[in-house]
Amino acid sequence: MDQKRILVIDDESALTRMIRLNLETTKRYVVREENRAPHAHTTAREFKPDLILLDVIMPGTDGGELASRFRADPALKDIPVIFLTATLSKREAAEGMINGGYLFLPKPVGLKNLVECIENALAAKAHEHKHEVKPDTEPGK
Amino acid sequence: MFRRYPKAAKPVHDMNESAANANAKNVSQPTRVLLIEYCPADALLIGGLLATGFTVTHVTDLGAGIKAAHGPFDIVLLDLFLPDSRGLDTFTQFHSLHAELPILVMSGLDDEHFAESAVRDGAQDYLVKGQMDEVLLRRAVRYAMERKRVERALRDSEAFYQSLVESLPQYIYRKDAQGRFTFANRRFCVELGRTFQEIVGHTDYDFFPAELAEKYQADDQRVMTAGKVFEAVEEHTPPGGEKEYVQVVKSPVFDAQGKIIGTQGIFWDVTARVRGEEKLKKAHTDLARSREDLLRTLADLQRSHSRFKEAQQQMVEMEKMQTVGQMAAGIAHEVKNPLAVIRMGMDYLTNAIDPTSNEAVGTVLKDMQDALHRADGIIMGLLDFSAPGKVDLRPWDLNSLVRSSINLVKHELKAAQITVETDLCDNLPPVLADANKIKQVFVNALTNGIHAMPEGGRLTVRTYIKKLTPEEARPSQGARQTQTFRAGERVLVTEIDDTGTGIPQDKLGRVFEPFFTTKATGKGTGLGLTVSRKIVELHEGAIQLENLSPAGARATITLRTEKT
Ligand SMILES: Nc1ncnc2c1ncn2[C@@H]1O[C@H](COP(=O)(O)OP(=O)(O)O)[C@@H](O)[C@H]1O
Ligand SMILES: [Mg+2]
Repeated sequence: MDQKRILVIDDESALTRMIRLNLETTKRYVVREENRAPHAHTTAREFKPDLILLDVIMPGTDGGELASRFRADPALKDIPVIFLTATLSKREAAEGMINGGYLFLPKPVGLKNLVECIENALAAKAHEHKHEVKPDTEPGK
Repeated sequence: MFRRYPKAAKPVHDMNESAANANAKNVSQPTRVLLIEYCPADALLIGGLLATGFTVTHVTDLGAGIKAAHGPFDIVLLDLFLPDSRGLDTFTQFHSLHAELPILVMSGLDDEHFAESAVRDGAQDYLVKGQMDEVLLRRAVRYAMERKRVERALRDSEAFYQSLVESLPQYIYRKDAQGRFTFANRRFCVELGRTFQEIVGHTDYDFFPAELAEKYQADDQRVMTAGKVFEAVEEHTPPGGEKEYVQVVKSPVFDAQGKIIGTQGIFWDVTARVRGEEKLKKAHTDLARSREDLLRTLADLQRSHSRFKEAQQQMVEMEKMQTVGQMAAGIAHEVKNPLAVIRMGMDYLTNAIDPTSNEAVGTVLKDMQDALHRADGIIMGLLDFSAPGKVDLRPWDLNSLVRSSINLVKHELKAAQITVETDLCDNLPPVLADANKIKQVFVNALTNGIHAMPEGGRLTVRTYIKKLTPEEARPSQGARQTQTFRAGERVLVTEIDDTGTGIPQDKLGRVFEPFFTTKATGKGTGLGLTVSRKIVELHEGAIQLENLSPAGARATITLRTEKT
């Protein structure tokens, strides 16, 4: 099975490191950390992730702004983004999970929960993609 | 041309003369008579008749008589037929020049009517020549003088009264029984703008508007029938002028038999006085009013002061809450990141080390997990508190919310050996609530009750519906304005009673303050009631805490039912 490429953007390097170490233990992911919000866009284009984990509030640039820039970039616009948030309570996160097509995960999040969330998002993406490419695959049917 | 008759040698004592003789002057001095008589025989006769007690000066024509009359005479005997004047004219001429002298006219038998006319015009008496004797003549002279004296006195007295009536600054009139003026003093005439002649014989209707005349006549009638004095201050406004006030005194006029034959009135302008009184009264009421105003202003001031204080208190509290809210959000973010690191770190370690290989490692990891969970709980509470206010109000069964809240604390109840009694009213209308948030309120109240009963006890949970009285509808002291109950509104009430320690009276006002807690670290954050109140306010409801006697406390949560 292909390893999925995960970009973790958070100013807290200890957290991105923990997330990387944890995700790597599953052997299902290649993880890249980015702790500098201003470099995040460049890193994303270069790393070509399958999914982005994004902190909502970071010094200098806030996560929401970053996410909309990704959406505006044709090369990045289809990559699922999961927000990691410190300001939402669990219940609010659960209730308003999908906001503007984004997923929210309240901090602190456990590994199990995180992996579930990543897999769901990737599956949804794959499903969506399948539907999108259906016309192309038609001749081969 | 004077012929003097001798003085009387001795005074004549005639009883008939006593009235005239009462005059002291006549006792000592003879009466001085001017006789104007052309006929020498008559003159001689008269002179003889008046021989004693009189000095007679005789002239023979009117011109001489008029001249002579300037002298000191007590009476004039005037013959109407003289060489230079004849008939009534003789008297008229003389009288017009010497009105002050008493005049006794003498006439012949056939021209008596002249004499009568003279008497009517002011002569005191007349005598017919050839019919007089001494007694008659003397008496006639005396009476004429006396009559003149009385007439003079009368005229003086009349003049006195007239000048009195005319010089008084009052308006004076008299009317007969039919309301016709019989007298009006000059002032009154001037006031009416009419002459005396134009007034006398007329009624009020000739001078005043009908309405006013009617009133005056009615007043007169009242005076006549009651026979009593009528007094009043009447006001009237002359056309184009300012209102005037008149003091009126009306009284009945009696005849000699005591019968009322009319009315008389006296009135005078009291505008200045009434104005003064009015001014005084106005000043008085103004004073009273300004005093009232002052008191009212003071009360207003006090009210707005206390309202201001209340608002200020609220503002301070709100500011505190806002600060706390911002702080909470800040802290949550700052704390959650390290917590996230720890969480991930622990997950990593749990995978890396086999917890079963070392029992101690397993225990440590478990303890750390618990501590992390607790820290996360506190942070969650802070976030609840600072989260922007939004509630999702839907109709719910209040009793179900209460039951599931009790269910959430069942472990604590069991651990603290607390029994729960429920007294939940059936058939309540649905409550409008955000179920999760209201459950949070109930759970906190239940938990507070449990914490207040460390030795065990009883919780009583009650629900019911009630109609608010105006008293209850008013926001309670210190309550914030978000509570907008109306009198007569039906509300759902939940009461949670415990048999615990109660709240010290001096702390009762502080329990809703953020971070106010009396509990040990780890047991209470002091945010429970703060968050509860915030939630209840978002429901436009109310929450109260009070002590129960003899022991325990009651939390009362009032919520709205679905609007019908
Ligand atoms: N039922 C009760 N009996 C006695 N004291 C109470 C009760 N409810 C609240 N209190 C007092 O109010 C304080 C604040 O309560 P709360 O805001 O819920 O915070 P916490 O429960 O975290 O202390 C409590 O610490 C306690 O002193
Ligand atoms: Mg509490």
